[in-house]
Amino acid sequence: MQPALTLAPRRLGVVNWLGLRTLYLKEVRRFAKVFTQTLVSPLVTTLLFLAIFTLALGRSVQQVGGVGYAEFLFPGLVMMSMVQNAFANTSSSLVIAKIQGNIVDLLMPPLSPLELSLGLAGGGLTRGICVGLVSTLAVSLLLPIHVHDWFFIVFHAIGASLMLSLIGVLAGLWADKFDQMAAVTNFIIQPLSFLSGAFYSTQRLPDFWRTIAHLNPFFYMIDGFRYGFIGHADGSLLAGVIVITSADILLGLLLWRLFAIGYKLRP
Amino acid sequence: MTIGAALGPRRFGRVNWIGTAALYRRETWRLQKDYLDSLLGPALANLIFMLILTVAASGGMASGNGTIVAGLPLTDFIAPGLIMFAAGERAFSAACVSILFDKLEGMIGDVVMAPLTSGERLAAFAGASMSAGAISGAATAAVLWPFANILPAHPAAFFYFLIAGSLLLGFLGTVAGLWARRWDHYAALLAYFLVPFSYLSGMFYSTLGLPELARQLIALNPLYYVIDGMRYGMTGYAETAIGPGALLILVLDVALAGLLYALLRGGWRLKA
Repeated sequence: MQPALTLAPRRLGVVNWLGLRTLYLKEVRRFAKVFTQTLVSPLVTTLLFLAIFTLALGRSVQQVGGVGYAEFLFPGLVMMSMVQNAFANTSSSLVIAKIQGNIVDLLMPPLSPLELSLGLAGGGLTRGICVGLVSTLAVSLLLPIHVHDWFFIVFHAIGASLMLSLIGVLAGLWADKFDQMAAVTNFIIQPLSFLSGAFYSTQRLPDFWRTIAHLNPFFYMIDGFRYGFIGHADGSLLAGVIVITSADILLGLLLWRLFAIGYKLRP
Repeated sequence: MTIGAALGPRRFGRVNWIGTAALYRRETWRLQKDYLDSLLGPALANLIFMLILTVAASGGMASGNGTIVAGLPLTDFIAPGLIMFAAGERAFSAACVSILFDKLEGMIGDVVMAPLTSGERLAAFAGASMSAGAISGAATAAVLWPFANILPAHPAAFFYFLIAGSLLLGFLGTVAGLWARRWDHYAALLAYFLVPFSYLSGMFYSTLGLPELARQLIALNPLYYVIDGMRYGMTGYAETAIGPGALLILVLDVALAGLLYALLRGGWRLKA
């Protein structure tokens, strides 16, 4: 082999597949390495919530949406866990990289803005899906789980995890400190996900509050995902599909633009 | 005054009051500084919890009247548990994070080198985690004020259990902080120890309707007695006898204080 050949610059096509794959694998390995924190811990939280809410309410609330309370509750809990973890993956990855200075590892390689967005968001999406699979499997040992419609389960699992993964990239780009990230998690992500109708049917709410609840994008994720299991939806399924698809596309475009101009990344 | 006197070593009596107070102040204020995360965050989370439980429970009621648990409105039933959880979680985290952070940043020398006895360090740590817990509990109580009956029926019992419970978790947090070597350890303790023990303590539901086995398991959880005592202090309703519960917590506090004293004295995971 001639040395000149091995030292020549690598030629890339239209898409830097190798770079994209590497970034994606880095993001996945980042959470897979600490799976007790990133997969098992959310699972414990989901099971705890299932236990305490069923214990606290199981007797007084017999039927919600045509099924028992625990069956009504679990899709919402799984979805909450998925989106919170998708968000945590991308946001923490970027903030830590910015604070520790290894953000240059993202900026220096020959990755286009689109490839950066896809690689990071793909890592968060994968974590969300993994958390969802692990949690659903664990719950299926405790509860009878029926599948009503696979399409809505798969669509909402992917669409919602991707959406929060993209929002996590956005928040990670914006935040300069851990405090700011904790504030976004505590004051935006957690309240929106808890008040999303995961724990109760929004049909029980007074009109005004139902309208407010239906303005929360988290409501559509949980409602559609739950429909896939129990066959009952509180809101419009079509609206949910449109909201999630358009949010994913708009967020993707926004991130592409932000990476292209180097928002908070380049001086 | 001569220069020699001004530069001489500081003299103090049997107890280094200045040093103890300084350590207490440092431990108390370093984590309360980011009040947005340490106070408002948990308070908001607890408020949301209460809203969710209330709405979810009312779903089963035909008339729309408030849900009754063990003769109390649901909000009054769970408020003591939420306040205690906020206080306990804060006391645990404040103590654990503080020591772990110092160890990881190499600043633990500031605590170990200072002319403080093990007892003085213990007192400062305990006082700081107790204050952090009490402040966080008060913030949660303030946020829940409009929704639940917060004014205690038996203030003595209320404050005793709030303080003894915060101390209990503060001591546990201090032991955890000494033990932990990485942030992973702290995260694991929170997810696998503190949160399950707090949530499975009869915070959200009456244990009287549970299966016998579940009741016996919960009866083994010390936090059950803390939360039950808090509930007695706030509403006058209790599931267990208050006296033995109070005594149990006191015994645990004293035992943990003794253990911590021995650990600090021996320099467990602090001194090479």
